[in-house]
Amino acid sequence: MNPILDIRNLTIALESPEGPVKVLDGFNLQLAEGEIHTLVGESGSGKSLLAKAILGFIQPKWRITADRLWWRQQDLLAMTTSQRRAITSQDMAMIFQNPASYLDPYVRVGHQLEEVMMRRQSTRLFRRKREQREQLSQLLQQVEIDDIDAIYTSYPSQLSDGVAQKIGVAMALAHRPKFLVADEPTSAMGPYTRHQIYQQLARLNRDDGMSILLITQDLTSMMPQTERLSFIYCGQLMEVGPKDELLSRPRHPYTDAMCKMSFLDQSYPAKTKLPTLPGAIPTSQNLPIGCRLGPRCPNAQRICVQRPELRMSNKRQFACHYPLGDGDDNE
Amino acid sequence: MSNLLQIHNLTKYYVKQVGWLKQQRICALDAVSFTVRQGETVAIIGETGSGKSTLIKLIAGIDTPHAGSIALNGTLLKPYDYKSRCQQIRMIFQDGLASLDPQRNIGQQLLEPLRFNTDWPLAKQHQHVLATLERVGLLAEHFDFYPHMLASGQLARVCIARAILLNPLVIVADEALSALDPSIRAQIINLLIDLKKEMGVSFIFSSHSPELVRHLADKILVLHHGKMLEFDTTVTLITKPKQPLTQALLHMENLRKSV
Repeated sequence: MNPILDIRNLTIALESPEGPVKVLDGFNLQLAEGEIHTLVGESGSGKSLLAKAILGFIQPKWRITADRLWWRQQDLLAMTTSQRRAITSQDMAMIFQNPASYLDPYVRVGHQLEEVMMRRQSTRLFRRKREQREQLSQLLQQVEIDDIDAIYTSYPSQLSDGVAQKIGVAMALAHRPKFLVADEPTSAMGPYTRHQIYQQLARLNRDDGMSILLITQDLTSMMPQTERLSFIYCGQLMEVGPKDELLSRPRHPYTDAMCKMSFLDQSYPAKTKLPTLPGAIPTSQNLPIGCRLGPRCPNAQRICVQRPELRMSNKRQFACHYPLGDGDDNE
Repeated sequence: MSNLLQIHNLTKYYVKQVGWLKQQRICALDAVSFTVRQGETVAIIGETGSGKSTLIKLIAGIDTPHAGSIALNGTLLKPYDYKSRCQQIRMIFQDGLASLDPQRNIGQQLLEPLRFNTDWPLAKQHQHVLATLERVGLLAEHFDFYPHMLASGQLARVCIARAILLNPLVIVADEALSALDPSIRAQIINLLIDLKKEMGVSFIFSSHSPELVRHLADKILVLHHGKMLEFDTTVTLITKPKQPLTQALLHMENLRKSV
């Protein structure tokens, strides 16, 4: 089966005074239809940039090159802006990270939601207010907002961060998109609300076959329904594979560290020190050469200043010179 | 171990204007009472809007309660007596960059609490700041850095340094760990565990993450719409929760695994 989204060797370079900086370096992603894929990366790993590159929210000074950036066998990079916009507005949707950045502070939330609905059914110009309101309330109920009238007349500044994020989810779902990019959609919500939102997304995935690319910072806020996981660090892909396999038997040191740091192992005794990676996350001005995890990696050797090749091993891919576990590559 | 912090019937309202003349009272905290022993770690959990932040602010003295009292070591804390309170109760804020002054360097900001609260000579103050910086895992040269020059983990360390500078009895933190990256968060957790062992300070924090609460806390306080639902040791609440909400908040990973 052909993947609906096929990314091979995607590189995004940003201009800086010292020359172009590869903020995303050789990224690969294959997303099958109806799949839920989670991308885990710490801050500065280029995950938001990747989302924007897929949807085409690109600034002219970014240099995007790729062997392949295909959506349903069509090359996205070769398209004109209007062609690309047609695909983006019909099939794709994105939930943005920061609720304050996508809601217009001067316009009531109800009006902003209406605008999204109008775009969805532009053929009927004179729609009755009541009908529209009904659809809207249905949409808001999907994202667990009960007090619809109060939300309808309030301004974005009057909403809490969690509710504003829910509005963002509702706006993204209004189109009934085929492919949803969710960039930390639940960072301002409590765990229980997050669970409800994830269940709603999973229901849409099951019923409508919506593919989801979920971007998170942390393994604890991952969707439980996710099938495949990607770990990305400083713009380099570390490991990709099926969720259960990756979490139970990580091959890459970074995956291993992330699993341990995220308290996924319940047997870890309380009030003891956690295993962690030493040092800080490098900024984009001084990225290390070769494998960018190198300076923080417990297994790093001299050869790690060369970029490791992406290795295939039994449904998973990883890029490391000294992988963990014994060599069961031939399984 | 004696009772260090006694909180009795703490109540806080927020007043909301409804229409022209009518005012609506929203009860943020409703008669919350609990005690914290010396060296204990208490986690405050609850859904959004359950009054976690309000409780933390009241303990730190940022806000004044409408009723109830807070007693430290048996003496009542007066609402406007900032001087003695800020020596004994220190707060760690969520956003390190926002809670530090961008125009002054780290050293100046760390010297300030010492200048107001001690009568030490300047050389001793300097020395104490440098020793504290080292204690939280920073270098002496960070004294001259400005907040924007530091990464998120280093900023969190500076905030912790500011909290432990006066050797307080209680440290409160409002979601101080939730915004950090996982690897940095683990480092900060390790630092907090170390400092707690060294100093024997009581630590009160609020968190969304059940894993973090279970890892750090001795006791858990569950809030729901401003009311205290349960307050007991971590082990009791995890194994035998009385309220369904406690069960739901502490066992999120069961929800994660299901479906």
